[in-house]
Amino acid sequence: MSRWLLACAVIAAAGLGAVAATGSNPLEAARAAFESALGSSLALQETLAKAVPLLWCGLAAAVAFRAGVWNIGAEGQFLVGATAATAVGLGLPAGSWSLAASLLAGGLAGGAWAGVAVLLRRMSGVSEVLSTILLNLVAVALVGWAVHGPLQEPGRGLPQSAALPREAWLWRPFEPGRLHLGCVLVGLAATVVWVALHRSRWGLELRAVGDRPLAARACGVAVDRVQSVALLLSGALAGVGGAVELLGITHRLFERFSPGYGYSGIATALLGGLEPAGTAAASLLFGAMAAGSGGMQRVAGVPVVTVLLIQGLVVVALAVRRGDERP
Amino acid sequence: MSVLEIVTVAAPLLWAALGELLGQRAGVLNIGTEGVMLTACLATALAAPVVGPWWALLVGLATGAISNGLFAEVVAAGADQVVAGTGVVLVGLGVTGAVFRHLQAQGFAGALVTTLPWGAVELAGLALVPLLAWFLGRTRTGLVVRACGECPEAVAATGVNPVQVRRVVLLAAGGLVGVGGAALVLRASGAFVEGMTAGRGFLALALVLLGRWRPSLVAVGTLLLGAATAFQFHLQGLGLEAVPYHLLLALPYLATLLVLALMPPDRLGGPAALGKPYRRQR
Repeated sequence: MSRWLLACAVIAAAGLGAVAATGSNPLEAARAAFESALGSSLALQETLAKAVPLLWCGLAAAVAFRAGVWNIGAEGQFLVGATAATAVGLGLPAGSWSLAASLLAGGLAGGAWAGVAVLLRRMSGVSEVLSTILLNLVAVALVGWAVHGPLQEPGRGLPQSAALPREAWLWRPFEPGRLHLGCVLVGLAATVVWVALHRSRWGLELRAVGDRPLAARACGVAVDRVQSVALLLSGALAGVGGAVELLGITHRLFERFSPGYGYSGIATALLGGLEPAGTAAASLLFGAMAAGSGGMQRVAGVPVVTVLLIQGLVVVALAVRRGDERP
Repeated sequence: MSVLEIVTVAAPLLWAALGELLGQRAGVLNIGTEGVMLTACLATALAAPVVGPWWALLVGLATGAISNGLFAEVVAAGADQVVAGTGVVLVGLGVTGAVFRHLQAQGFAGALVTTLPWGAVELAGLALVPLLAWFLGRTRTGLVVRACGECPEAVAATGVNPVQVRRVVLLAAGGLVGVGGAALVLRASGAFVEGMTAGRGFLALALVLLGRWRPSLVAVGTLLLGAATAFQFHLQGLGLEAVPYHLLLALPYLATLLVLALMPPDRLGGPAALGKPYRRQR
């Protein structure tokens, strides 16, 4: 519990600091943040919609970290997932199954992107920390190339893809609110991850490998294989997340498609204690923060990117706390 | 494409890579170098119009040192270095983005009037390579620094506190990274742009690995990358599009991944205690 108290203290302190720095009225700023995060049906939907990519990337980080694999690459896997979903969504004739195909393509692409890190690790012993970071940068360049080249919207000189056909979008039940079906999908994914982690032999092995790798190996667990599978699955989760964000929110690909969701997902997973349920709760908190920051920007002039700063501070604070706990 | 040009392009990365190397030799893996460098960039750009480019360079150095110093405190508290480093990246992106956009809303353009003349940062960076190699390899203090990276327990047994050593080393390393950031502003671009480090901090990490933790090899790697980048600028200048521009941007990262893949596993040594939190024995 004190994990959450610590995070809330960091959020409150940093938020107050940012408001104070702009010289606006903190009460008004807080009210604006509250209004645009929870104040109305539209605001609530926005909070949920903003939580969705955070939870996909958070689940990705949780699965990998629980296995003792440092996948810093959710950002890149998210981006290639979205790129693959765009390519498939624009390439196939529109229909209900083109939606499913896009989601699948996203997951496969994310998994494949993580697969490069798996290969490098298994064949050349390259730490996944480094390879996934480099792959993030390659993915950013890949998206830039795609929206200037093969996936660019024809006839307009803008660095973005054409919009996907409406049939391929994820359903929004309460328009004009932005809550979409992806919210249900990610809830299902979190449930599946929980069951896999806690009610399957595979999950037991995965947690054992993460907690006590030597003991796990002594018990006959193939540590390398478990970690490889965890990294692949982690990449697939982030990849589907990218596809869902594309199909549910943006409907087209563009440069800077992700404002750091992959890195924010790490913050989300850590705050959630690397557990699916906790990560879901953390994604709601950060989602509300992201939605609220829009209101803060309008009323108090606090830039929206302050959210990244706050998430970073939460990560650092939690890292110190975890360090304290472990003997 | 001249040697001077290559050195100019490579200088910011060289400073950052040498800073990362110094920290890693003391056993601290700083993933957050990107964030530290970015923070130094912004501080330099803010200081330069007020105090001039030379003092702004110093401001960049100090900002890097302070940022890394804060990271060092987090590490000293026993935090996992990879996790904490990821936090530093986020903080760096967030703090520079927030401050810059806030100032932009008030009319700050971020462009400098005067930049540094050629030579100072570039040549000092090159001079630092043998200096750092000598310090790490030939001095008693350098030995203690390396020992903190290999076996901090042994250092503690000699009566020196490895936590303190790592603190001081990280301050110095941050200073080097900070100069790299300042060089980017004062030499290369003359302005602050959001996310202007464009992955150089991450590339520094890769270069340290590729250079196998040796200043000379890291410098060679950096200059090779600098040559590739300068070549890329030339192609662009000529309007040649043999390879799409956005794919060229990925070239340094792809090249690094490729070299890593081709390196035999046993060559990827590195300091034995790298990335491991050190706890004082009671």
